[in-house]
This record gives sequence, structure tokens and C-alpha cells, in this order.
Amino acid sequence: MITRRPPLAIRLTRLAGLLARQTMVVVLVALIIFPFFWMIVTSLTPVQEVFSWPPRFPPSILKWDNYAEAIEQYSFWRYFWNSMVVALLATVFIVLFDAMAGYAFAKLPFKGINWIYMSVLATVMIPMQITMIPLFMIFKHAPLVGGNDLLGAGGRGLVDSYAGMIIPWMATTFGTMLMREYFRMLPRELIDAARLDGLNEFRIFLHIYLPLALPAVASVALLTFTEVWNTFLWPLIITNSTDMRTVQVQMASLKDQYFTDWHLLMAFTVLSCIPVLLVYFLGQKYFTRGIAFSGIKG
Amino acid sequence: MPARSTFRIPPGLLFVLPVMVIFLVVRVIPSLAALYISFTDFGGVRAPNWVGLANFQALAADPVFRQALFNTIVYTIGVAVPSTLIGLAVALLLNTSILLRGFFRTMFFLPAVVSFVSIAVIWSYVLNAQFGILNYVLSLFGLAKVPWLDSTTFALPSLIFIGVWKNIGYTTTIYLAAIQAIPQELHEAATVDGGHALQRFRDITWPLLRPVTAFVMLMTSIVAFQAFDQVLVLTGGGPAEASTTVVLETYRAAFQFLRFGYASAMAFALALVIGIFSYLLIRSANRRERAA
Repeated sequence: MITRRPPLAIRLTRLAGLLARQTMVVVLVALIIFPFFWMIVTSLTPVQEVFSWPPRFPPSILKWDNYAEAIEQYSFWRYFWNSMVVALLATVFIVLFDAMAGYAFAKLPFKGINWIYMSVLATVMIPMQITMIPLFMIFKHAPLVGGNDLLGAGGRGLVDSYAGMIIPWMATTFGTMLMREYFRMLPRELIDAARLDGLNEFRIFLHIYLPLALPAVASVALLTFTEVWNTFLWPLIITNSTDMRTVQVQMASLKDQYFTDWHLLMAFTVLSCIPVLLVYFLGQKYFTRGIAFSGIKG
Repeated sequence: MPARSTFRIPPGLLFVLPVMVIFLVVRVIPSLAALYISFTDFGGVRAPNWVGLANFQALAADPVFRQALFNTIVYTIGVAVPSTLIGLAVALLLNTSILLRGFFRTMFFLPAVVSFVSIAVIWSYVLNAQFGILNYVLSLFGLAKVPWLDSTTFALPSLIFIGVWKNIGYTTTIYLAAIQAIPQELHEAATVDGGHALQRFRDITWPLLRPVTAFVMLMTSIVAFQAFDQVLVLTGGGPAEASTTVVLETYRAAFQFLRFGYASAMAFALALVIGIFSYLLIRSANRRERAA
């Protein structure tokens, strides 16, 4: 007798396996999401219930006013603006410079270029905690900016400035590698044709190759924006005045207070996560590709 | 008639120039300067005095640094190994037929998208000893309130747990991409040979994923070695240095006590540890790969 369908026992085992896997995934995801869920719940909880024991769920009312209060009381927009300026400008520089370098490494070889590429790769091993002290001194004593004289004395230099926060994030090794790999996949013939047409090298890059590399540009841009938005150590060091803090620095200092208004802090945290969550949800494909790229290269 | 120079700047050089200049200014020069500072008593104001190896000798004898280094190594192993293994398990799970797979993938990655500062804020409320939801859940099982972040016993384990929680999305994503790159024929061939799922994993998936495993371990370790944001926000390194890390102590030495020389020595000591660890990891991965 020939049966097309596997015997009942096997089908049942398969079904049980599927159920078991499905349950495991659901439980794991619940563990992953729960803190976020609790953050949102807390951000909507009236102040009297934030410290209650047992924790009150659901809160007696959803207090949307917490958001208005957090924005007002903690000057949210000020820090949001600072973070946005820094992250957007850094992203623009990184995309442009990484793409240019990646393009040259892929398409414009010259004597010594491999040596340069290896050096660029090697610098990724230098961690922030090594460079932060000299970088701080260099920025503080940058000549002719922030009230400094020619010798870099007298003022605050690049401390408390957007430039001070952006300059360390104007190029990345990761982006350069990713752009190089992408440009390598594009045909060389386009360059030759464009040169015959008399286009200069920069226009060939900008008008022909860069548009073809938009998926890679998207990956670099999304990952860069997220990284810079989330970064904490350097903005913490290079900002002195409360006004110039980024969202992350302000959030940490609010948590640091002796008494924490958890409902307001959580509202602040929710708002601070929105830009990166939007970037992730809208550009998930490019986001994930960029992450996966690093793994496949490694 | 003067000889015309045949030299012209290659266009490629102009294209890589911005990246080269930026890295020179923000990475290469500062790290050379830091190396010099680590042999001095520099404090940011007066000119530095050369002190030879004094900073490094002081480090070796400093109980706070030793505690920080110990914590950092425990944290790194505690985060990197589970992150890698759980990431592999989740990737294998998500690679099978499961309802709402895309949705689950997206959710797993959420902790990796948001900043460590916001995650630290969220968890400090969840883990709060007096009114935290975790202690409430435990109380339902009759357990007493645990001071997750305020006790020398639990502070570091709590940080490790949160570190793993944040990493899983990243390790899962890398593993998923690698698993999906394994040719389907290999699995089919093994199935025809009569291998069941576990055997297939042991003989095909695991050996093929070995380079990825080494990479994931390396990346998660390097990040964990430099733990700072979450430590500062969640525990401040306390109580009594129970959860402090090398980068947190470096930051304090530099920007609270203005001991730039000492802090730089600390940063280089950590870099040395990371370098040795990475070398050993890569070497052992390569050796196994050759043996396989």
C-alpha cells in the first residue's frame, strides 16, 4: 500500500513540535517586549500610583498629561533638538565620506591604496576610552573657536558645541567597508563611458555610482543615525552646560537624581526612543541587511 | 624649457582623503597622545611630567582597578557566551516554520535598536527593590524582595542579565543571515542519509556556523569589555565597586579626578586585555576550522 501522507503518529509529532517551538518563541518575545510595555504603562500612570505596592495595573486612568508635563518640566525639545542636529549632521558626513572612500577603494585604485585600506580597517580597533582624553584636550584647545585664541587658550574651544559632538562621528570604518563591497559589485564600464563623455571623477561618483548604491547608502545612514542618536559617553564628556546635553545625557542625569519621578522619566524615555524606532520600523530591510553584512564579512 | 611634471594626484586619493584626515585627527593622533600621557602625570592643566611605568605599577596595586577588571571579565563572559548561544537557538527557531515569524524577528531586535541609557532607565524601574514589577512577580511565589541593583551579590548579575537581553536581537540577526546562507542541498543530503534534526545540527549547521560563532563571540565580547552606559546609569558601579567596570573607572579617573595619565594607563591595560582575548579567540577558531 502506498500512502502519500505520512502516518498519523508522525504528523502528530510534527504538530507537537510546531506548537512547542511556537510557544517558546512567544514566551521569549514576551520577555523581550515586557520592559517596553512596562515603560509605556508607567509613562501613563498617575503619580500617586507609580510608587504603589503592589504595583497597580492597569493604572486607574491613563494619564496622557504626563507627556506634556515631562516635555515641559524636563525641556524635552531642547535635548531632542540637540540630539537631532548631531545625529543628522553626523549621518550626512558619514554617508558622504564613507561612500567616497568606499568608491575609491572599489573603483579608483592607485599605488598604496591597499595599505591605506588596511590602515582604515585597523583604526576600528581603537576604542573611545583611549582617545577620549586627548580628544577632549584637543577640542578644548582648538584654536580660534569658542573664544579661544590662536594658541587655543582663553575659551571653551569645541566643548559644548555641536561640532565637538559631531567631529568624532564624521566617518566610520563599517560604512567604508560596506560601501566598498557594494561598489565592487557595480560594473566598471560605466566609469569608462562617463569619462569618454567628459564627466569629471566626482560627478561620475555623485551622478552615476552613488544613485546605484542607494540600498547601501540607506543601510549606512540608518545604522549611523541610530548609533549616533544612542551614543552616550562622548556627549557626556564634551558637554558642560545643561543646555547642550543630548537626550541620552539628560535622561541619564534625570535618573541620577536623588528622587526620580518615574512617570515623567518614562514619558521622556518613550519620546527619546521614537526617532530610532521610526528609523528601524521604516527601514527595517536596510537596517537588518547592514547588520547581517557585518556578520557575513566576519 | 622646464620639464613638465608627470606627477598628478590620483583621483582615488582625493576620494579617500576625508576619511583619512578624520581618522588621523580623531583616532590615530589621540591614541598616540594617550600612549604618551599614560607615561606621565598629566592632569589637564600643568605640563605633563614623565613618570615611566609608575601609572601601570600603581594600577597593578590598585584594588579598585583590580575589582573593576575582574568585574569586566566576569561581565564579558557572562554576556558574550549566553548572548551567542541564545542567539543561535533563537535563529534556529526562527528559521523553522513559525507563525508570525517576521513580527517576532522585529520584536527580538527592539532592545538592540534603542540606547543603553534608555534600557538602563527602564530596567532600573522594573528591578526597583521597593516597588519594582519583578519583585512583585516573585512575591506572588512567596519570595522576599530582592535588592537587584543595590546589593553586592546581585548588582553584577543584574547587569549581565540586561546585557544579554539587549544582545539577543543582534546575535539572532547575524546567525539568521548565516543560517539562510547554508545551501539547502546540504540539509537534504543529510536527510537522505538518514540523519535526524539533532545529528544534522551537529554535523552540518554547527561546523558551518563556526566562523560566525567566533565572530559573534568576538563582537559581543569587545562591546561587553567596554561596558559603560548601563553601568553608570543602573548601579553607578556600586554598591562598593561590586559592579564597576574598567571603562567606568577610566571615565572617573579622567573626568572626575583629572588623573589623565592614570586613566590612560587604565584604558591601555584594558585594550591589552581585549587584544589578548581577541587573539586567543581567533586563534582557537582558526585551529578548529582547520581541524574540521
